[in-house]
Amino acid sequence: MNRVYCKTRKIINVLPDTGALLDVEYVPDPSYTWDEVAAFFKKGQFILRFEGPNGLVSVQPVKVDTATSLTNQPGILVALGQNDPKRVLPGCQGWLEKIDG
Amino acid sequence: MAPPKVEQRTVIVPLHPPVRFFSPTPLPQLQSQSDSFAPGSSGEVHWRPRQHGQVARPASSGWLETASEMERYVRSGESARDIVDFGIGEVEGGAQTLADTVKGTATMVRHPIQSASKVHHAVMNSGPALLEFSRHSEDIVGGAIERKCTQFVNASNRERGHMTGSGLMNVGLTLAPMPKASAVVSASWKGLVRALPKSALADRVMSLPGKCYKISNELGRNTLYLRPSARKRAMNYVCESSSLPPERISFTRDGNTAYYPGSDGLRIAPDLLPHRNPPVGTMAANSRISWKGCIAHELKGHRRAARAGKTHPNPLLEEAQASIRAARFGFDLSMPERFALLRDAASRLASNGIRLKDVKTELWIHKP
Repeated sequence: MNRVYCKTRKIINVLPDTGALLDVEYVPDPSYTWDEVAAFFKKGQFILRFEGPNGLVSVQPVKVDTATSLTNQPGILVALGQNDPKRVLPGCQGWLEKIDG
Repeated sequence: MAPPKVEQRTVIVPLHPPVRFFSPTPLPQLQSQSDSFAPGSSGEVHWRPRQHGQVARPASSGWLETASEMERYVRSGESARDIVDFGIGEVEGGAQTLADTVKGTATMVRHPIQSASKVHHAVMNSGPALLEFSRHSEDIVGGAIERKCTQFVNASNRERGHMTGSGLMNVGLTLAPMPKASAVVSASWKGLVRALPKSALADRVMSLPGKCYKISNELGRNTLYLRPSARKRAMNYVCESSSLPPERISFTRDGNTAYYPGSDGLRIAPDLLPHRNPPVGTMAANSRISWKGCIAHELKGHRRAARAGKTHPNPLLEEAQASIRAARFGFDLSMPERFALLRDAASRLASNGIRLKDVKTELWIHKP
């Protein structure tokens, strides 16, 4: 697994230890199950890339946090860290990929 | 030289087996004398296959033995009339069946209790016949289809058109006053829900074969925006029941309620609230979990396990563990709320073919 496709939503919270928390919508890939995706995001740092109005935008490094809801729906939060949350636009198609390979 | 004498011959080709024409208004003697038709007690006529070796009936009673008889029958125009009559009779019978079905459905909607009782008795009484049908269903259905198909194929194009047109017209006339089928089904279901006590209804739903009860599992939870009062209640409950700082709680309109262990944050979405009209039954327990149960599932279940390093590596067992922990140690939950959580855990496992007692020792459910 190299990348996980997603769609940006909006910043839902800003915490001192994680920075801004960006809510992203998981775009399912039939090649992988949600459990595999969650395991992929367990460790490491990632790059968030999305197609903005002026071209491709890369935000790095970010940490990705996953959860499964009571109704078994997947959820992804991207901790932006020191990155400026204003760089992230809502409603953009993008993907998350690992920095170290 | 005399011209050659032309000898005229009449060739009679016997038809075997003899051709039989059905008619909706058969000849009187056919019903009364035929060994192929046996009138029932109510005057109904039941068709029986002709036994091998039986003597063919004379043409006057409906059987045509020779080609000449056939030719005369066809040329006289009787055949076309008989076939048309037969087709119309068949279509009228079908239309009558449809009309009866509509009438029966309307009765079911108006009188659900009596109808349910009648259906129950009918099923009980028809047990032996159903058993017989199940044993020979292929022969019975196959034979019926074959007979109907043969009759249609043997008819001329004109008769086929007549049969089809009359059939469609009758079906249209029958269905015209009828509302949408979905509305009828919906009304029937609502009538049943109103008439029957919930426990009885639950028993009936759960006793249905196949995947009927799975629908309830896909109902999910609330999807409407959380009101400020609901947010306030949720915030107060989180503060009372756990050590999670209020700034780590975020409310969103999209997504789902979940605890994120990486950022130690609780995200609350519209699915915090249960389904507005949750069905009964164990498989729908997830839709019935209250908002307090939902928060307890996330905090007493997932968060407490994550902080203790006891998050189960299997996501299914982790969810079941969270529900059981919430049921056992959830703050200020009523007994129905705890039972709903326990049922949610059991149904999660059961839907994957796992019994709770088989995995009980693997779960971290004994310490708060």
